[in-house]
Amino acid sequence: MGDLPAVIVSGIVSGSAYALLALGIVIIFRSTDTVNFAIGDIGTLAVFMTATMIAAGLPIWLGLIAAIVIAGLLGIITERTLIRPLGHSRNYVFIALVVTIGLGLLIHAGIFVGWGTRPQAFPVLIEGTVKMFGIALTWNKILAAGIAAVAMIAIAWFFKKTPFGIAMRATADDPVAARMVGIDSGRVAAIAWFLGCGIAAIASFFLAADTSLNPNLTLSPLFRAFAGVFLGGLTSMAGAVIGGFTIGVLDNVAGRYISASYRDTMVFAIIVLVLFIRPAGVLGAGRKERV
Amino acid sequence: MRIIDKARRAVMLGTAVVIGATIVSSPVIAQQGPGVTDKEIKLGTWMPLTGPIAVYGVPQRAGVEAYLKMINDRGGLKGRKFELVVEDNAYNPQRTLAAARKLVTRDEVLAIVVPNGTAQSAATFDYLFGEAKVPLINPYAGATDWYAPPKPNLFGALVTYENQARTLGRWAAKDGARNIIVIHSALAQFEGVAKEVAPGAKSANAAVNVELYPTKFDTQDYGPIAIELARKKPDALVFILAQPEIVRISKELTQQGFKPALYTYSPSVANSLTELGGTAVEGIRSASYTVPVTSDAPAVKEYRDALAKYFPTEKPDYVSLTSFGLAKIFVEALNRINGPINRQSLVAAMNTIKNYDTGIIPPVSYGPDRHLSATILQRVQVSGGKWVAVGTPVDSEKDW
Repeated sequence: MGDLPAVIVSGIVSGSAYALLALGIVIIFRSTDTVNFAIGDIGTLAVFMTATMIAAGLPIWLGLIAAIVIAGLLGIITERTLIRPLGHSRNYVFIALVVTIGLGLLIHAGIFVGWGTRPQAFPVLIEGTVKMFGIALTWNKILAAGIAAVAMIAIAWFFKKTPFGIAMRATADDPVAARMVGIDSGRVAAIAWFLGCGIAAIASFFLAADTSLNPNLTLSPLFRAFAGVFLGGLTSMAGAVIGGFTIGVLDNVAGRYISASYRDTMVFAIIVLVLFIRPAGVLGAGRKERV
Repeated sequence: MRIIDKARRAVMLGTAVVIGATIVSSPVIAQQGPGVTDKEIKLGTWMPLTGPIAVYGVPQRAGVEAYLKMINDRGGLKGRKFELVVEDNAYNPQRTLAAARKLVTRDEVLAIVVPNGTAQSAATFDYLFGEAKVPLINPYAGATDWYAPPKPNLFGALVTYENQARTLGRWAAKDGARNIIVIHSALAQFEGVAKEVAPGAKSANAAVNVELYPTKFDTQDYGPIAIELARKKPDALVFILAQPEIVRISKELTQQGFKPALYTYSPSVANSLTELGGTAVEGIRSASYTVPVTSDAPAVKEYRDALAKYFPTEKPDYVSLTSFGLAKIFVEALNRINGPINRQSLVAAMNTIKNYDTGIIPPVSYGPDRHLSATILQRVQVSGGKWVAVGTPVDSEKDW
């Protein structure tokens, strides 16, 4: 167990992608009551578009900003054209969920057609590694972890302290009542989808730089991000980010000390146990409905 | 009544004559057997064209199709043009079985040729060989037990992964490695291959210690594994993993500053490994089915020309070269058939192939008791970002 600190740090850094995706999921859910299963594919598509721009000469830093903007705009378009027309019927959450699953599959197929199925090398923002607790970590991953932490704090502040953030929360709780008091629910939804999908693009960007750019880039991380969301609580942004980081740490610890071939099993066994004790997640608030 | 009967008989006779005459004199294409007409030979295959293993499937498809298109442009085989129906199996056994049923029942192909995936292809065997009786020729996959005893409708031309693993173990031991760790996916088809590294290593040096290290298939984060390996400090690592995973673990090892001798088996001998792995895979050793893609041999030049003509975006690659060579073998078998082309005559023709040299993979020979033809491998290594040949070819079943 001598290398436990190193394994934990490595897990935190690896968990940054899960944390960012989890944050994107929760922002959209809290503001528009939609579980966006296409969030990873929207981020991946944005990075594929950006890769084409980078290949044409766009600096990598600008590429990251371009990816965020593209994914954000794709998010707004999705909300306007596919989600908003669903209205707020009784089964809205489930219908929207199926719509986003279908959209994800369509985007996936679109990437195949546009860029092919083979992985592509993708540049890193910052080259090099740094030693921490006896292990080397890439600056790319450390930067991703830093951005995830900053994003969590900034978004939490935005939702808690700014009038628009409070309006977004109010819209999620009761869109009709929010509209009655003058909140523009359409604008709230657009901003939430822009933020959520933009954050997913950041995760996709760093994942591509870390391994390769391919159509399945966020497939496995999204699976873990959802685990992080449920672990932290679907209604808590801080919980989702902490949940994402926790999944990264649990994954690394299980892979190092228990079994490299059963790491998923171990991680999800722990999550099931936690949810058994606290069904709303560690930091999530349980929803009460009048019957 | 008699008049009516006579009239009815006359009408029926007339109809029969007209139908018969239509069939005899009709220019419609006569069917010789499933998938074969006077104009066309329809073949089927499955490959992973999507998902993490598409890095193999895409160039593999290009290699097979480039060869068949080249033959078609030369007039086809005995006047017949090839049509290849390709199904995307996404490296999934259930999808592969569904693809096999579709190819046999709906497309009515003559045979399955150069499909991809060991467990995936094996999932179709009961159906293909038991129920449908369809030949499966030269899969880009294989296991020793597929060919012992020989299955009448299954032919292979690639050295088994088990024999490759033995060769890698022997190579590592001969290079001086005393402690070897075999990193393999924790799936049966990978584990069975990984276990063969130890006998190979011990055939060169009985004192060599070989440890198996299973990992989850398609592991995304190799960080903790690299940390553990860096602490164990083996002399050599043998990867029995899918190519994207080899890239990930090699990068993590490089990041940790640990660079033992790296070995892997033939599926990784591809451009994509060097393109995605960069300096992290520099020096990695492997076993190749074929001569180098840069060879000046006429057959390899023919391959490069065909690939450039029919798949201009595909760079010459070991995967497409291998599948080009595999396609050449079954076309040779079809060319040897005198008389009707059907599944039985194709199997009989495959059994007549003796010492046939494609110029790409080592000469192949088949017979009723021998349906796996290959044991020879070319050792290769990444040097300066490119795969280059190391020494002369070795026999994977002998102590070279």
